[in-house]
Amino acid sequence: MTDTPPFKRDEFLDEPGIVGARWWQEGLVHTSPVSRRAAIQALLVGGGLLTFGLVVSKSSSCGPDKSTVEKSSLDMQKQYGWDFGARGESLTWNGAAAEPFQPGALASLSNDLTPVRAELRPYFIPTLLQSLTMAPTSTVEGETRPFVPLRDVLRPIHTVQMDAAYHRGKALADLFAAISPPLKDVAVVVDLPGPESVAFAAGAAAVFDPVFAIDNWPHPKGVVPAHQTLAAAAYYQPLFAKAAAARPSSAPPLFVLDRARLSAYADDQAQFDNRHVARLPPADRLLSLGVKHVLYVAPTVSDVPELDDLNDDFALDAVSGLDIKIVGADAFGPELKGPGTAPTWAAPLGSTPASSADDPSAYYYGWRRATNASFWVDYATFGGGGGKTSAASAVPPSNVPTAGRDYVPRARVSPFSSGNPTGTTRTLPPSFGVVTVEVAAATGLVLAVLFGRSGSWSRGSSGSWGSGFWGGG
Amino acid sequence: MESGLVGELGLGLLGRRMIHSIFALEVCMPLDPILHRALRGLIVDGTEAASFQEKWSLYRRVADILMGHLERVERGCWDYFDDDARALRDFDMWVKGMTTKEGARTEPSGQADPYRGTARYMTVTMAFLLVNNSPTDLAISSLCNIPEPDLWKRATFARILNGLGAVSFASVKSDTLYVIPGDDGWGLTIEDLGEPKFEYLRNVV
Repeated sequence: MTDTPPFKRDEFLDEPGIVGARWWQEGLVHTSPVSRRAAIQALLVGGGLLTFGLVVSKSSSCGPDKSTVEKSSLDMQKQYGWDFGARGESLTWNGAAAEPFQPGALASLSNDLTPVRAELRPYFIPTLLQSLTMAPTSTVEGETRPFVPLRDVLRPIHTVQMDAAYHRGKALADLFAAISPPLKDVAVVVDLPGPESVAFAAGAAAVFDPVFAIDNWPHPKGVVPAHQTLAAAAYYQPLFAKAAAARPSSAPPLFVLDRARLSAYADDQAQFDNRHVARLPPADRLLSLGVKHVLYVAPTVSDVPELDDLNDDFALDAVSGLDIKIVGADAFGPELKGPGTAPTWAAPLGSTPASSADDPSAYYYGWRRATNASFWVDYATFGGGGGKTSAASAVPPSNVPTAGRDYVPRARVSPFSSGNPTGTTRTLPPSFGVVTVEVAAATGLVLAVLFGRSGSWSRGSSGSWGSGFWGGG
Repeated sequence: MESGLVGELGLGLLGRRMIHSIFALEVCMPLDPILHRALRGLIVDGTEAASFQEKWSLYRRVADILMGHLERVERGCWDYFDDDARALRDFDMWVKGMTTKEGARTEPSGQADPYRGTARYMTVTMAFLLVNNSPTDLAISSLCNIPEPDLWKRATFARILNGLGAVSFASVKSDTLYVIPGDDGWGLTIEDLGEPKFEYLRNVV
């Protein structure tokens, strides 16, 4: 009789990352403990055999071979390419620019749009800009079509809406440029449709340091037409680069958002949910940057309050002592001629202003040269009324509706705000910015992409973010 | 058709070709240094050879430790398949989870701040390659006969861990047991657990 233990350890790991072992019972290979008697009985008793056969492949497991799950749309694009699930489908460009274009310059787009001020760079979100050059690291099962980088299909755009937004941005910048000494304690947040936000930033880039904060990628079936925003950035790229070189090193920040980020998502299998939420520095970081006033630029003077995903931030900013005001981009327009003509406050942003101005590219607050300086009266808390502009002296009233300048943020409940912000978590609606995919249970690799989330695919619970949005520092 | 089935089963039951089943279980919980030390010790202090009784005692001890901390288990999964091909393939997969160090970090994550820091996590994994239709296999099969809605309930994990005492290692061809991390300064972060390779871990409710 031997006392040799039946199990031998043939694998053993004792490392910092893992500790483990595997044992084998070699002697079991040819000596099944299932008794021969039991086997013979199974063979002889037909009914028993049938029953035995039926239990083969029964399983209770971690899951089937594949499962349907929701994944972050952006994560999937980063892993499988910007056109995840729509390889080979083309983007539609509205307003392709006629000017000569050097595609090679796109390689430096992210660099050219990086804030000049080092202390602003932590808040620069280059996600959209980086989509141009990123290559996938994985391939969806069965995908054979070649990947084409976004930079190879991108074309700059230039529209009349962008032109108007550019002039509006320049008008605001000119107001600040006229103040001496320069105001350094103001941050501007531009929240217009993507291409117009970019154009507004371009118009203001001589005075403000643009900080792009657009956190999604374009997609052929995107809910958010992010490719248009990227194309607008490509159009203004030379201007941004030139302005960055000439701008004062202490220029105040101008955060660039895409208002389409929260676009309504029709539960449609033809759409890819590339929505995202705005990420701005929290109040303590703004204060540490020397910011005391925030001017939120909405499309129109009627667009009060801010979009839902900014409410928690703005409510906390106000509690922290920051002065938050809103101005409609359409508060700026070209000189209106003739008595009795009035700004088209309610006109959609970007509609060509109905003006017979001598210089249609010169925009003014209140749509009149005479009322331009009244911006500092309407936004007196910014402190621009002193100095050489003498704005506090008699200037005709702008007649711009007062809702924006009188605005004080109030916490409210919405799909993107809690009504009781804490600064540690932020609310997201269910299934926001996600895509439904079929994955292999064993490997997690994507087998198929399902754009729609109808029926039982939807998830019922709201998500949330943890704190530490900006990391340390 | 029937003769083919009879032939395959017959060969297996007569021992010419062994048919296998697989049982595996993994749990994930916040890394508790004391708990981690206990489980690690069971592996590294073991001998290169083990009797049936020693194997039984080892897993009984692991099960007891996990039962004592079951409330802290946040994620987990368990498998039972009595299909031979799948059993062999899946057991190999579970073993490779150790030998390739697939789930392990490649650099330290640091000790979690017990008051303010984000948690570190550990996983405990066991897998058995069983002799199909052996008494142990039948017992495990019965143990794992869980209704779909209850698969990932804490009570189910408790039932299975408690039931491991029914395992006779005479019917276990091979087994693996591993803990991630090996050093408690290399605990998994919540970001690690968000990676696709941990997709299989379900929330334990």
